[in-house]
Amino acid sequence: MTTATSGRPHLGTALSLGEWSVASDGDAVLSCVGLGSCVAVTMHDPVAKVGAMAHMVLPDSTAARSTPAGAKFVDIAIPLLLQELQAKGALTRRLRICLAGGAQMLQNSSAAMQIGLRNADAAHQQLAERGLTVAGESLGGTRGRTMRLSIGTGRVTVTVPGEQEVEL
Amino acid sequence: MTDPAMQKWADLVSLGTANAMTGLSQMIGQAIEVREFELEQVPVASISQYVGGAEAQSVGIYLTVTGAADGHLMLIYEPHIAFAFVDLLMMQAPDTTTEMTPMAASALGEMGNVIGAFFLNAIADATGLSLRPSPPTVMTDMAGALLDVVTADILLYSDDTYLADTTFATADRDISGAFFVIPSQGLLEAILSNEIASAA
Repeated sequence: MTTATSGRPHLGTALSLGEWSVASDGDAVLSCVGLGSCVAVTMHDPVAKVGAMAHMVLPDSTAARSTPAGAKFVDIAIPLLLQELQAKGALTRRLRICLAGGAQMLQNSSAAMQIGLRNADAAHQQLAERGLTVAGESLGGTRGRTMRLSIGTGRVTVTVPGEQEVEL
Repeated sequence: MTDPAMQKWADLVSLGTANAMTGLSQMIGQAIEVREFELEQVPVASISQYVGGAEAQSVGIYLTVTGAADGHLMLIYEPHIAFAFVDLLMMQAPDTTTEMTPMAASALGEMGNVIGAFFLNAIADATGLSLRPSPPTVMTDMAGALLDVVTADILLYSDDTYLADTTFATADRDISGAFFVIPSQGLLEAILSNEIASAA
């Protein structure tokens, strides 16, 4: 699975399933488009002006039979982003962290199928274990979302089709 | 998947799709021509590109499969194609349906029932496996969000999946659509191992 890395930030980079990106270009906008049960995390250091985003699909890499590369799994993606941000001069204690996604797209699904809920729980757990708090979140529900992070301003927005954009 | 296994899966999906179109023809009382059939191995992460992009509003008809193997199937269409199907199914003039009403969702669910049952029956006949479709769930959302329902499960096992893209049309209306069959890894493995064992 491909990953976009900090060396070449792309303007308006849309991250596919399992992709992540770290950017320091003030004009860069990172986005995760059409999040269903997937959870996106954004981390931004307003002083170092560096930010990161990951499009996470599943909660736990230990149950996986596929390559646990990239940001596919929450338990790998969050430590990976923190490490990459630190390498770009970010301080963990300054990070503003937001989460979005984790919808339950199917009604009446079994507990095992509630991947959205499990993704959101895993993200909270990974952050809490590191003493990190979530500044803003838009999680759960039954609708798809799009999340964007503007690196220059640190502004994080979430849109649901047909609804007004929300700033986290 | 090896080339012979890929070919076997392609043959089965082609068979299932042809039977699904037969079922749909019977349902609407009109002949449906299958114009193109293609099976591609695609990265799971980029599936949404095949349905207009992750943010494109889409209609998904989702069925789980139970029996000899668990799995799931999804039909996904751009809204105008889904609405064209509704008009066809309800014997209405083209462009009558412009939004997802409960009646439209019910018609598409019925279409999912027929396609799912005929598709699985053909595969069951060819492999000897007993496979049953669940009642369908009809959803409208961004393609990326709809596809999460199947991609999350697939990504647990593999970074690639197999996409059957069928273009078909009725004789008397300008209507065509892509028919995607996205198997779960468990269903794929059960079908192929059974098929290969029975061929040996």
